[in-house]
Parts: sequence; C-alpha cells; structure tokens
Amino acid sequence: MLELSGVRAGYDDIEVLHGVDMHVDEGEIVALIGSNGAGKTTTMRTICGILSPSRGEITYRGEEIHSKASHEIVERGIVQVPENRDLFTNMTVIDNLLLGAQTEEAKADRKENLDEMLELFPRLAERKNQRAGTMSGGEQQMLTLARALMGEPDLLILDEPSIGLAPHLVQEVFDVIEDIHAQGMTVLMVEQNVQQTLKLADRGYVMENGRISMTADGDELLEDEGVVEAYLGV
Amino acid sequence: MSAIETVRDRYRTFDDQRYAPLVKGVGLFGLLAALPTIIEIDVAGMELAALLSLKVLILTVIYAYTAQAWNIMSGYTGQFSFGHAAFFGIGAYATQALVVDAAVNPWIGMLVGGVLAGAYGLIIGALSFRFKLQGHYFALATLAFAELLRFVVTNMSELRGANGYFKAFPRDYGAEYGLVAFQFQNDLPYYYLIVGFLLVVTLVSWLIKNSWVGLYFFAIREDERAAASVGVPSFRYKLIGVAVSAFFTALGGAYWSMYFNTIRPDTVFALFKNVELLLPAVVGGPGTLLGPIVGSFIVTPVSEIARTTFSDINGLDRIIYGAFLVAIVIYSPRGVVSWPSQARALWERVRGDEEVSE
Repeated sequence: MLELSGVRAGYDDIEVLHGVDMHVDEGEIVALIGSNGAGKTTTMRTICGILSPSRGEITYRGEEIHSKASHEIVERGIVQVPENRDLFTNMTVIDNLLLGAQTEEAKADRKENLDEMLELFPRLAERKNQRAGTMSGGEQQMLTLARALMGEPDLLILDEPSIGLAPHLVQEVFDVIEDIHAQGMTVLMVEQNVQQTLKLADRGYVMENGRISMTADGDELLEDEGVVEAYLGV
Repeated sequence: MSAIETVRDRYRTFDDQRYAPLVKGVGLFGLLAALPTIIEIDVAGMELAALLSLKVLILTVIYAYTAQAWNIMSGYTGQFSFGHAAFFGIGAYATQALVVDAAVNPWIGMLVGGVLAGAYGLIIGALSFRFKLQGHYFALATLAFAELLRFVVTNMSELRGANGYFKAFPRDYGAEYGLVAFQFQNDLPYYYLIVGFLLVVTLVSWLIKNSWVGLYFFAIREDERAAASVGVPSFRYKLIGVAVSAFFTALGGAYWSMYFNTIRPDTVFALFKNVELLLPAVVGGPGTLLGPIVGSFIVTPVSEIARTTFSDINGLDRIIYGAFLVAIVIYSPRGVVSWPSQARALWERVRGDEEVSE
C-alpha cells in the first residue's frame, strides 16, 4: 500500500533521514519505534508531504507521492494525526472536526461522520461548541483523532497519539485505534509507549540515526533482547 | 454555503437565531441611510452637520468600504497586506484612463480596474506565497509592490505621469449626470451610492465568513501549517482571498476617482494610502464583519475634523492615525468591537467576586 525506498529528507541543510526503506500493507498496523531524534517524526512528515525528500521515493498504491503537496496526499486518503496535535485552538470543536473532511467522499459524508464521532467520543459532544484550546490535553488528543477520522482515511498515520496523557486516557486511545483497525483501516504509528504499541502492531520497525535498523513482527520485537533493553528499560 | 450552515445549525445552541444577522444588517444600514438626515437635526441651536459634514460622512463610508475589502484578505486569512493602495490606485487609474482617454463609461472602467487589480493581486500572492513569505516579510512585499506601481505610473507619460487625471464631464463620454454617468451634481446621491457599495462588500464578506471558504480562511489564519496538514489547499485559498479583496478595493478606488476631481500617483498610490485603507479594520477589529465599519466611524471623522480644524498644522491627521494605531495594537489588538464582550466579562468577574465575598 505504502512504500518508502531510500528516502533521504531533513530540514534546510541538515539531513535527518539517511535512506529509509519501509512498507505498509493494506489492513496492517505498523509501528515505528526508536529513541528521540532517530527521525520518526521526520519520516511521518515526509510521508505526508510536509517535508519533501531530497532523494528516494515514496509510492502509495503504485503512485509516486513524494513530490505532491500535503493536501494532494490527503486527497489520496492518507491522513495524519500530528504529534503536536495541531488543533485550531480558537475554533470550535465542530469547526475543527469539519476541517478534517477534505476529500470529496469525506465532504459528502460529513454529517453522518460528525454524528458518529460525537458518539464515539462523548466528551467531544459535551464540548462541541467550545473552543478547542479551552479543552484538556486528553480531550484535545481525542479531537485530533476524531478530526483525522472525519477525513475517512485509508491510511491513518499517528505520531505519538498517547503522548502526555494520563494512563486511563492512553488506554482509551489504544482502544479507539484497535476499534478503527478492526473496521479495516490501515495504521502506521509512532509511539513512545513501546510495549502497548508492539502488542497491538502486526509489524514493527526500529529506527536509529535516520535509518531502519531492524524489522520484525510486533511480538518478535517484544521478545528481542536489544529492543527490550533499549526501549523498554527492562 | 448553505450546507455548512445547516451542519452548524444542528449542533449550535439556540441563542444564535437564524434571522439575527438580517436584523442586525437592516438596523445598521438603516442607520447609515438615515445619517445624512440625522446630522442636520437641530439640537440646542447646533447642527451636528457643522462638525460632521456630508463630505466627511462620504469619506468615512469610503474607508469603511475599503477596510471591509482589506479585511476579506488580511482579517480572514491573516495575510497582512500593507499594500492595498496598489489595488485602490489600479481601480482609480483604470476608470479614469478609460473615461478620459477613451470615453468609456466609468462603470465599465470600474470593472476593468477590478479585474486588473485582482490579477495584480494574484501575481503578488503567487510570488509571495510561493516563496513562503509570512508576517512582516509578506507585509513588506505588498508594500514594495504598491510603491513599485507608484513609481511606474509617475514615470509613465501614457498615464499622464505625475500630473494624473482630471475627471471628465458626463457629456464627454455621452452620458448625463446620474447613476449611469457615475456623477451627480450634489453629494447626497454619492453618499447613498457608497453606502450601497458598502452593503455589497459586507454581504460578500458575510457570505464568505459563513461558507467553507471562510472556514478554510480562518484555519489558515490560525495555523497555516496545521491547515496544510489536515489537507486545506492553503496556497489556493490565500490567492482567492487576495483576488477577492483586491477586486473590491479597486472598486473603491474607482468610486474615489469619480467622486473627487483629480487623481495623481501621489494621492491614490500614496504611501500613506496603504495605512488609511487598513487602519479602520485594525482599529475596529480585524477579522470581524462590523469592525471595519465601526473603525472607520472612529478613525475617519476624528482625523478629518482635526485636519480641517487645525489646517495650519501640517500632517496632524497622520499623527492622529499613528496614535490610534499604536494605542490599538498595544492595548486592544482585537479591536473596538471586542470591547462590549470584554466589558461584560469584566462585569461578570466583578459580580462573581462580590457573590463570593458575600
């Protein structure tokens, strides 16, 4: 479904990704783990067209997408939940959700989807006319996720969906991810919460210094001594 | 446009009634229509008109109109333009050049000016946004494009250089005084005409604000990178903002050129014109529908009255503009129209404190 080969990218003159190869197949949950500064977020941004790679290529369903603008990538069904949430803090919850519907199909279904999201996240329903910036961190994370789902993505990209959340909220977020995956959505996620992520994921990639250093099934990675030592702190 | 309204309606609390904007609009424009009569009412032997003449009212509504046009781009999308004199001047010059040199009806000249200004806006926008100019850099770029036109026109003999144009008589382009000729023999019809202009641009602004376009504009204003990452085609929508705003600003310039007798590069393309075109919106409340109108009714009369009363002090009106700008930017960046709600919040806080202390 999504394939990266030899992708190099970075900011201005600083190259962060030194040739990344990875792929995500239809219906999978794929996790990308690694220490801070390994290039996980940069990888996500490059896939979504916020950064453009200097070398290498990214294909999605057989089509090259690495030279496309981010809105063109969204139109093809790749929607990301960014790490810093990127909500429109002075706009209402409803308006934030409406902004998530960008493809023609998503626009056509937005009323049903809006109802569905408010049902899936009752907390958002309570606060629907409130400004997004006045909500708690957990609620904002729910809103970011709900906004992404408003776009009816085929491939959902999650960058640290549980960062800074209280433990019970982390569980809630993972439950939602499991739910939407069960409905057939493909998910690529970056997470600090390695143990929980790898349990959920079909496959995982370990990233080090801008390269993929290892790849295996989620369970295998959980049992790998190197991974356990480096990322689980056991 | 109606689609987003129905979606919002279903999830909105019911204190926001459907007919509220209509009532407000009728009230506001009713008041504007009645103003020429109101200023002539005799109060204790003094007419308001002695201070606030019809000429000042016309000027005030012109700047309310142009500020409303500026607001569509800079207030809604957050791309602060310091160069709207470019569009204003293009409107004025296109109208006069066609009227005087080719005897074309000014209404046609006005539309030509609007389209040219829109095109110039697209060029400025495409260049600036392609190179990702933002904030101060974008404002400076727009200023540079406006100044560029001033120099070019001043040195173009085809457009009569620094001398500019002197408005033609209606018979010169085969019309008689009246709406078709865009010229009247007294000020009152001019006043109603510019109020009509203001009504149109306000309506357009309202429609934008309540449409998907408006939602995209506000998203871009709030956080352009986030807007791009959810998939808003921000480049395209910023260009739409510039083009619409430039078009309407040019119509204001056309009106200006048909109301006053002369236009010159150093009047319609003046460096200071840029400030005059944006200040009412900034003072009144950028990004709001009412702000540009309220702002112009504060800024324009005060500076006009000061200019005519203290006519021996050169540049007093500009000093006043400067003082307004500094005061509002520092103390109330959301503008005058935010004062009532801020006062209410303050009042509720004071009352809340009292209840607690009881």
